[in-house]
Amino acid sequence: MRDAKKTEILLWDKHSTERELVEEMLTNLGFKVTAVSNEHDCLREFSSRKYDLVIFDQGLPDLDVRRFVDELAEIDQMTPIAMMATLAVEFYQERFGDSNIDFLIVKPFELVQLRRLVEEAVELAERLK
Amino acid sequence: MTDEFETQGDRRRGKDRRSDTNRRSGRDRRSGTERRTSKDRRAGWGKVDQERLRGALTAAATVAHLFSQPLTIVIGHVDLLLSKVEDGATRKKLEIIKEQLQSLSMTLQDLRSLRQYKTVDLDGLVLLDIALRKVRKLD
Repeated sequence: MRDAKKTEILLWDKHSTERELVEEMLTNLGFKVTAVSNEHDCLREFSSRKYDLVIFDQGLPDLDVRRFVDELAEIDQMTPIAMMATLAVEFYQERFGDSNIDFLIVKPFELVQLRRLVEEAVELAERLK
Repeated sequence: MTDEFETQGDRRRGKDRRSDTNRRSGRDRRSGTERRTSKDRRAGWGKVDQERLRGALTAAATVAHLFSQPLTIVIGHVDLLLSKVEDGATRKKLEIIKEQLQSLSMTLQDLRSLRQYKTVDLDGLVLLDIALRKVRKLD
């Protein structure tokens, strides 16, 4: 895997406690993280420079997941997108299987699972290049 | 003399005690929504089981959804502490906490995987049968 310090992750989570935690976990793993609290900032950040992975939280009542990931894909289709989820994987496969979401990470997760997610996302990005 | 419910006076006056307006009519009793229709009865208990499953699935999904976020935060902080703390006794306690959190995490996973309505009777305590057998660890 490439140098962790070079891996840049964009994290969008509306809930501050969770956002700060996941940001700290990713930083602890050696990744460079930009954390934002709303959709607008997320899209603006994503447009401003190249990221290796976008992680966002699905548990927002007013979020149109499909539209959001389509907007990300319009900006850059090659960046992997991961969604933090809470229900059974089958539920999301049925709803978003054909969308631009590349990875699901089901809560609650641990450091080791978060590291695995980033590693797999970076591998995917390398393959897509 | 009057009683608290003022029924004795009614009886003396020969008033029909069944005329209370709160009382359900014969028709009401027959049209209760909880009542199974003859069609339902012919169909057996399948429909009831389906409703039970639907209720159990909704409850399971709600619990999984609501518990996931706080559990993520607690597990995450325990993980971060474990990556920093060097004191052996504190580490041991944190590892015990993490083990128990992993057990909760597996229970949530079992709730998410629920596909059929099945109960287990623990000496009168009837619970959903979701792998209550043992405490397991994550990989």
